[in-house]
Amino acid sequence: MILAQNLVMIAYYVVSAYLTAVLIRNFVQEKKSLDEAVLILIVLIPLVLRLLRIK
Amino acid sequence: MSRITVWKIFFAAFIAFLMVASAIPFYEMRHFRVPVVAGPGVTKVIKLSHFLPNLQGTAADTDVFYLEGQEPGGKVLVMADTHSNEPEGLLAALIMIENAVVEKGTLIVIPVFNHSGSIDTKPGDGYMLYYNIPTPWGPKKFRYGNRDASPLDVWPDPDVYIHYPDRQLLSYIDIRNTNRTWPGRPNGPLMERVTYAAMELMRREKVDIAIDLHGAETMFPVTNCIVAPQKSSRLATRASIYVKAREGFDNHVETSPVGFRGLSHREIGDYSDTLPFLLEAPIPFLDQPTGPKTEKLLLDGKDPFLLSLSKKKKLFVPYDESGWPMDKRVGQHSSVMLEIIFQYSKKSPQRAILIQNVPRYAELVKNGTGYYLHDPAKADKSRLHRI
Repeated sequence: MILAQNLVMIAYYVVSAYLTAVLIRNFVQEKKSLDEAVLILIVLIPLVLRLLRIK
Repeated sequence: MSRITVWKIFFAAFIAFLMVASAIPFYEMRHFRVPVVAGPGVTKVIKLSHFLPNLQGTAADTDVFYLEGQEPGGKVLVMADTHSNEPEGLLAALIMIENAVVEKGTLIVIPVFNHSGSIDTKPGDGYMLYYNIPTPWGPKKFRYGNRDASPLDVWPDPDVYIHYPDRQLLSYIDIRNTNRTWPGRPNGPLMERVTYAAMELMRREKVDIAIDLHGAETMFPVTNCIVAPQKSSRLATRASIYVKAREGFDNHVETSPVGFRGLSHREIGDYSDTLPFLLEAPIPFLDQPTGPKTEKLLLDGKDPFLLSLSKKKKLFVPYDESGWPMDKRVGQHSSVMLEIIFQYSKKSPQRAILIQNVPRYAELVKNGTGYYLHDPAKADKSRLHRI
């Protein structure tokens, strides 16, 4: 049970890290819309705080 | 460099600043520890993981204080901070740890039962991260924790929490609620392991009485009361009557429902020989229709909206301009605990527990909670613990 729970937790961290990487890539590649770029940054906040195990 | 790139750099720096500024208080709160001065009665301090080794090294592992008397007798377990946003339990437990002298039997205190919850805060409700209790040597700072364990320690939540072993369907968040995960299992989710370790403590130590300290909204019907299953109800009723007669405050008895699983007052009694009691003190701060959730409201319990609701008879406790101050709530917990222990000792003299030097309701209301907390700066370092 503990192993299964830990595996799911690790999977969620991997998904969070993947989404963070994709969002950072999109932010860097965004050349037209400043609104899009700011939106990406805002979406990044909870993911980064979770990956750093702060909140 | 294009104009949009400049703006992107500016916004990235701004968001990074916001993230760091908001992260620092959360990080500091998660690592802040409250100093506790072990009083003359404390004979040893161990970790809860002593009863379940796989808790060791997790944020859920917590200190267990033993106060053993010279004479053998019964054993009582006091648990506080099961819900870390109900701090009167923690304060009543700390007063015991810092002051109590046990003459007969053993007093075991777990001041921060849900340690993971105590290092987190509730999102969305505007809770402050800390509160201070005034003492003769200055304010003593405490974390104001959350009802449930931190998602940093138990993540992700399921869609529905299936209680073990009854398989009752509970709210998803109850997987992080140490008052829904009783009696627990050794290889379950983290909070089930916490409750299982406590069950092991009670079974191995042959604990006679378990008291779980809580607080509840004034608009919630199960408040200002002792919750007890049938096996504990006689003692609970006697304690309720005696505190009313001798000390002048109400603390009625609520019966623990058989069909609602996972609660300490239900499962401890069903899965061990221990007699469980859950004490609820009214906490105006937790009610929804109040003004801002400030430290002042937490400490004095005064709120104009609750006062208005009280006049319309919408509250389950008497409420007037004096509010429901912290000292009164801590005093109630202290007196009811001592009365339950006294009544049990009277009924079972061979398993009696005699505790001295713990203030009761009137003393706590008169002197204040902080009067009974000792200055860690002046304490012997070997008696200092951080919870």
